Amino acid sequence: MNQESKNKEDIPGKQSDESPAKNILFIVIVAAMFLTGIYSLFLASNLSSKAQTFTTDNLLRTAAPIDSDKIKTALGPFLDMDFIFVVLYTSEPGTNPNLVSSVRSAARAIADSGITSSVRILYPDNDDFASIVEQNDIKDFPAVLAVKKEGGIVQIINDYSEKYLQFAYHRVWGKTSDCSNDKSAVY
Amino acid sequence: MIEEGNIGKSASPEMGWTDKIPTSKGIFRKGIKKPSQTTSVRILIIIALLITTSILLGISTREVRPLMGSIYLIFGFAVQRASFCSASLISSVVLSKDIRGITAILIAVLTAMLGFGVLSSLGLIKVYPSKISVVPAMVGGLFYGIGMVLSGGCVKGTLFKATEGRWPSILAVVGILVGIIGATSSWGKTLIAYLAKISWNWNPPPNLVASESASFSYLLTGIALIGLAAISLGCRRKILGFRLSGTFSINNRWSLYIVAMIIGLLGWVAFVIGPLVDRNYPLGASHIATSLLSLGFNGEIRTAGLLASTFILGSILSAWIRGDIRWRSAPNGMLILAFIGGLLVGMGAIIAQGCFVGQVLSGWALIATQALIFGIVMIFTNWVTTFFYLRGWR
Repeated sequence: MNQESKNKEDIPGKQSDESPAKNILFIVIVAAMFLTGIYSLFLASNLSSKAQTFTTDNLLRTAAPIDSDKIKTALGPFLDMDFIFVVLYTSEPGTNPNLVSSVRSAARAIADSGITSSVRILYPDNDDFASIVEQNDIKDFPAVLAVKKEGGIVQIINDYSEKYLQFAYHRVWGKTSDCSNDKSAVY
Repeated sequence: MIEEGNIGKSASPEMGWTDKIPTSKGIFRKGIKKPSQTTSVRILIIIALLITTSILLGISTREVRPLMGSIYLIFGFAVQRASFCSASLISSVVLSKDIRGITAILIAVLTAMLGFGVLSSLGLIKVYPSKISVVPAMVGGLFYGIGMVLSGGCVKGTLFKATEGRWPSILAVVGILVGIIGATSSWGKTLIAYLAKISWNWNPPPNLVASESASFSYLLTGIALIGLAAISLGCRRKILGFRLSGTFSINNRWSLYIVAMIIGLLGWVAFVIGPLVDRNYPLGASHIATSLLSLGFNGEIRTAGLLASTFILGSILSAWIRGDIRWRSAPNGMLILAFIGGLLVGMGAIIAQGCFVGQVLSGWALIATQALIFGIVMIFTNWVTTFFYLRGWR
């Protein structure tokens, strides 16, 4: 670059040898990027507010603390996992055949993120069944519990889709701020 | 016009380095001679053919390891070509009040973010929430921020600088490997487990917005487009004090901003094809350094070993064509500090579960909380260390 063009660059507000067409093209591209970006954020905000109705309504705080010995016993060989879905059936899974596959898919997806995750299925003839039901005050079956090893149990009701189970995982794993009432609170 | 090519060169962590030539003979005395223009063109044609072959192989057989290798070859080539060293880019803010390096990093992040947003909405990539460890991310960022200033580079930075024959970087690479061994040993794991248990009743979500939600991809796209537009406008109107410009030639340094965009684009491809080689993240560098310790042990290590080899090969080829391979040393004290810095970088990368490339260039682009925590701590620590160590408290 020669001295002349250098000096030209140094004059505040003075553009270099850009043609008007280039300037117009630049303005059009930048404006399009801004507008598309703002529209994307608007869509994101819209979807996010719609998703709020989908959130914690189907998640119930349970009575049992995770450090309860009974829960630890019930989790048995899965206690080393970071995250466990516990499915409680009172009969063979004829009433909701998709539930287990949905829970397993969600556990696999969580495991793909590097978190050790598994599924424990319990029936009434299992020794741990009664204690878990009693501790968590579970009345309706089948029941699905999302358990974080380092603190946090939540019961999922009504919606057992893979997406919702992953959402429950998210809530149990971290976020607590949007849990405002006792009936749907998550910790 | 301000040329961005020399960011951090005049007063970087390399400050004080000399062309001290060891007493050996041959290439150990003079380095490797720059090839002729014809040879350089031939090398580039061979690289282009290899990349094309790997793409065709990937499309026809779904064997994408060669393509992944090609991505890392281009990655190594490009970062060497522009001296895209995060330590210098970040330090230059404190050293010379120069924000061009940080801008280049942001361009790389935003370019990657734009692609991830679009690819995610198309269903071509699936972002899983990752495990959050707040305290390890902070401690790792602290170690990494100090270490990168002392060693003169992050993991990828020291790797490509080592291929240029810089003794401090070669020692820093050794330090990184020792640091990785230490942090993955039983006491290192105990320390990390202890750090992970520390909690302040703050459990942030893995991503700022749940990655499985429909709004995630739109949010990424929106932030990226607005960010890139703002940078373009700021540079064009001299708000940022410089123009986005630079060279793109065989023999010369490439524009930092073009390389930043190339890194972002490479992240897109790596993320899309990653699941085919059992990985679900864009780009990373600490795992390729780790692979140097255990080449060929199992499938995962073999892939990482391939990536390490191709990254280094790309850097060497670029340095050779530029005539950058020559032995450069430094006073003994700086060599020791470079090793210690490497040690901290290696440990920091393991403690925080990722290095600058994985956490900032890839993690920030996915608004991953752990990556944001690591990156912010790392950048501030870098600035503080630069102020005290490189600027001498002035």
